[in-house]
Amino acid sequence: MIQMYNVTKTYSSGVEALRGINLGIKKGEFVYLVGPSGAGKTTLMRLIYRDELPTSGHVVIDGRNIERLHESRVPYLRRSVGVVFQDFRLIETKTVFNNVAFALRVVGAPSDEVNEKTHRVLEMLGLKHKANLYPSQISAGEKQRVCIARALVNDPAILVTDEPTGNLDPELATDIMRILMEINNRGTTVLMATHNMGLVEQFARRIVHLVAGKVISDQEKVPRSAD
Amino acid sequence: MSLFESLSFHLREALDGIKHSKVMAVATITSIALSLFVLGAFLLFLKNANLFLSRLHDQYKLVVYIKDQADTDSVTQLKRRFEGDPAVESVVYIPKEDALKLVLADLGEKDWIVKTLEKNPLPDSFELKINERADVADLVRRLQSDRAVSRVSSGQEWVAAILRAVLLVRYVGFALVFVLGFTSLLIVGNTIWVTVYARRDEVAIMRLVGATNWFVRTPFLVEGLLTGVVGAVLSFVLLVVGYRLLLGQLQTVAPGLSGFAGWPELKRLGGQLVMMGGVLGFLGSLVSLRRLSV
Ligand SMILES: Nc1ncnc2c1ncn2[C@@H]1O[C@H](COP(=O)(O)OP(=O)(O)O)[C@@H](O)[C@H]1O
Ligand SMILES: [Mg+2]
Repeated sequence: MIQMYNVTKTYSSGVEALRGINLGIKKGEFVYLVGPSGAGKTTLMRLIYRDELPTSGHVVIDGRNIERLHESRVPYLRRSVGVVFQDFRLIETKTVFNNVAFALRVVGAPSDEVNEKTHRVLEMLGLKHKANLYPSQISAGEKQRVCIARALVNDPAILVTDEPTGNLDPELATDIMRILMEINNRGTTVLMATHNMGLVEQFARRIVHLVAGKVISDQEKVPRSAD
Repeated sequence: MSLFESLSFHLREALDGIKHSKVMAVATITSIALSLFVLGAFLLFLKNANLFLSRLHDQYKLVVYIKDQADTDSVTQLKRRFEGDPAVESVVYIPKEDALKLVLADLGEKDWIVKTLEKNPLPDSFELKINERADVADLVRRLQSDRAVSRVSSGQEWVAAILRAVLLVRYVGFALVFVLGFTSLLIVGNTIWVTVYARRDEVAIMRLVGATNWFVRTPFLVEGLLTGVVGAVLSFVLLVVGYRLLLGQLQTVAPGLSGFAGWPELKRLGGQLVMMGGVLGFLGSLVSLRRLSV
């Protein structure tokens, strides 16, 4: 589902964010991306939804080589990758419902499909009763769930989440983790960058450890603890 | 998504955009309205100037008197020359008998003044209508050097001067409309740039979830178009009110004055302004989007 071959990324500032990354993630896997701040986690994720291009090497997403992908095809790649941010990035002027529905509307879905899918995903994330509120009227945990709902509503094959629990209390973080596990159980490939080693231990999955732009360890499936 | 759904989506997004950035929308509408008001006022002035000038032009005739001793050949030659001259719109030959009849008709009961004369005192003549774009002074100079011509009456000299001014007003007008249009485009482009900039997060999210380039741009273009049209309508209302007031003032100062551009011309101008507003708003948006590489 995600393949990286000898990927390096050097920003125009000269910072080498990634150096010689080789990584393969199969369909349906759940992978943690851990490592200190500045290790290159965000950069690696931005390559997956082609927010950036690698300086050298190849990134292949769902069989598509992102460097060779024509500019006009990029939107279609993005539709198969859902993205969740630490800082939510919701549109403040739209209701919860419309923030989520927006992701379907802008890809040209017919309105009955928009309504149906939006309701379904809000239901799944326990946000149904918040549908008509604005982002400023809901809690941080709820905002993160709206952000996940937006990423999921278009049924992406891959869900990329960049420190989704970074701004949340431990309790809410656990909530979000349960949701991500549930999504993964339904077959979506999930990649999650995190600092939170507590969560990584609690919900054990494959861990890719990144330091200074290099993979220093890649532990396959640490046995599950109770989750 | 059907065309209707897609259109209604873009329209709703555009209205949403206007609703949520009221200050910017007001600024954009105001700048479009002001630009178009200035442009419209100038166009209206030009329209009135043109109406006035073409009325003058319609009344204006150049009379070329033929020498008594001129032979038929040189007169025919002169006529042919007029017909071939691009400066001459039409030419009528008035033999002295016809000229006399006209004078007699004019005199009415007092025709005995002329009838007592034993010989027709009037010369043969040509009446020329001059092309609006022609240089009258030059034409007069050329005619005066003709052997068969005794005299050229170019009427009041100021008429000729004004006819020359027509040309100047048109060219200056054209240049000014161009400059004003360009300035408005810049102003509008700038204000819309700020709206787009204010919504760059929204744009980033649209891109993130896989909206195509045109899908991202369309609401802004629709918004630009709408604000442009609203601004144009506003400028038109201001223009009509201002014009009415001005005409009212003129009536009290110079009651005899008439023939100003009326409602049909105003309506046409309104249509032009609305179109320009729409185009301005649309292009302004497009330019801003390009500048923000959206
Ligand atoms: N847009 C950018 N331009 C220049 N340097 C960047 C940019 N984004 C990240 N970096 C640098 O690249 C390195 C990796 O950053 P990042 O991928 O954000 O790491 P992490 O998400 O693991 O904290 C850091 O040194 C960071 O300063
Ligand atoms: Mg990061």
